[in-house]
Amino acid sequence: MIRLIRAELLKVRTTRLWVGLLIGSLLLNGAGAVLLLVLAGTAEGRDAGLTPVRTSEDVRTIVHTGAQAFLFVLVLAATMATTEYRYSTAAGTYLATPRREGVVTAKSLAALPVGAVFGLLSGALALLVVVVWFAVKGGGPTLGAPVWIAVAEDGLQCAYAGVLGAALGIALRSQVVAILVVLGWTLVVEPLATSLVPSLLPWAPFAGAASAFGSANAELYSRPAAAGLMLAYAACAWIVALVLERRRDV
Amino acid sequence: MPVGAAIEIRGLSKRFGNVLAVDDLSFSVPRGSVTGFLGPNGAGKTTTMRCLLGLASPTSGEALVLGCRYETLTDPLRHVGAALEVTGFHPGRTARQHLRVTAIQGRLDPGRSTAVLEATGMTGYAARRVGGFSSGMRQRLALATALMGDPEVLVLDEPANGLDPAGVAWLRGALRGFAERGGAVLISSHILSEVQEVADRVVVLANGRRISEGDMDVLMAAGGGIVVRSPHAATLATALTSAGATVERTADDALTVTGMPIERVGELAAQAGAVLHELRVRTTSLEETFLALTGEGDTAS
Repeated sequence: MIRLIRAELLKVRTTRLWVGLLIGSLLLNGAGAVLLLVLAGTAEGRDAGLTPVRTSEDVRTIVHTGAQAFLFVLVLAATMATTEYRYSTAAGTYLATPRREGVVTAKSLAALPVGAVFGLLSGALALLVVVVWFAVKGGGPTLGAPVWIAVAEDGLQCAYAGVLGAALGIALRSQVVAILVVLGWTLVVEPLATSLVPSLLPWAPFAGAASAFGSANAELYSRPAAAGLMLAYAACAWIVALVLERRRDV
Repeated sequence: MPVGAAIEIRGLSKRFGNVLAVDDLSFSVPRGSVTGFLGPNGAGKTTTMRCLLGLASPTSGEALVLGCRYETLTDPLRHVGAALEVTGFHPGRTARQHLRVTAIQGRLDPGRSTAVLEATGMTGYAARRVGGFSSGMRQRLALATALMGDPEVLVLDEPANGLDPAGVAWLRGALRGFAERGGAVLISSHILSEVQEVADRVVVLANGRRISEGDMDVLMAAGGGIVVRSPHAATLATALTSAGATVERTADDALTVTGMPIERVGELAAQAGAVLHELRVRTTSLEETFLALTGEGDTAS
């Protein structure tokens, strides 16, 4: 399995998509952190629920913008599978490893560290923005354990997104359809469904379960419950991808 | 499985919805030989190869390589090298990166990439991205990939496509050398002259069914018949027809005989007292034989 995961990671590294997505993710999260710092304490910020950044808990909220990298991770992880069909490299993969469960598992597990790296870097960038901001402006809060935990939580949320994205890509095979589903689900379906039917929120894979490790929805579950739900979603996604992939011709 | 057979297709059928792509197909590929796999477009050649390599599930029957299903082989790339039309390359990877991925996936020695790149004349392109490759270079890289595991069986789908004349000559030599070292090759091609040059045996497919299988020499001789020239052609024709041969009078002194070995034709001529000016097997080109067998005006895919 380690060999197959190495091969999947090499496939990601030897293409340029990950570089573009990482840069996009860092730019978005860096800009998001700056925006939060600018708005914090202003009248507009207060209207949006932002308080002045005084404690490490306030910094934690800003660092959690790093978890927004999950969208980029979903796209990258989905393309780890869909490019195999787009460029017909899937046949070569299955000629080398006819056991499809091995390939499906390796893709899902390889997407895990890829997602974690995206989340950790994005969280770390948000933290860097905070540090630079207060170094320039003077003053600022003390950075404590909650801040470092927040960076780790960004990594965890994005690792989870990686597993789901890889499974989605395997299940759908089509790059365009996979990206549309990712964007449609995260930007339209989940927000709309959870605002229209709030009782769905605890069951939403991203807006609910994953965000319990962020600054929102922490009151919905205990951490173990949220982790258990994320694990269950990841396992279900892996099983669906495996069942579909074992049946289909290449 | 027949002794020496590296590939055995037994009663293989594959259905896609209402289309029966392969219909109760059986044939074998012996070790130490090159077997040409011919048929018109849509005859089912690629589908058969995909079933053989575990990329598609047969509807019924079985396709065995080295006595077992491909999926059950341990480290299959060490035993079977394949280059199919359905196998591709990521355009952003270099040739060497592609081979490295193959090596890791197939538990192969990554160091072999240097040898196979050299063998396929791709050394100078190792660091270039595949996206910029011509179809001939892609074909060479596909062959390099197939050779990475130093396999004993090669399954190649249209390997001469896109190759320049030097590449085709190289391919012919490489396949002959591979077979002479005991390897088995199954090669589909629409360039019939190339198959004729390299193959020992031929399997001809039409509408998913096998319509001929056998040695190349026998197949072409069967298509051409036996040419006889004799001043006593009429007498000889009567004798041959009485003995069960099919005789066509092509000129006053010439006959084409089918359905009888050449030795028997000679014996019957002697018994009938017919003087022979010519007695020979008329070989046809593979293309003539192919068109006669398939009844197609088109060549294979």
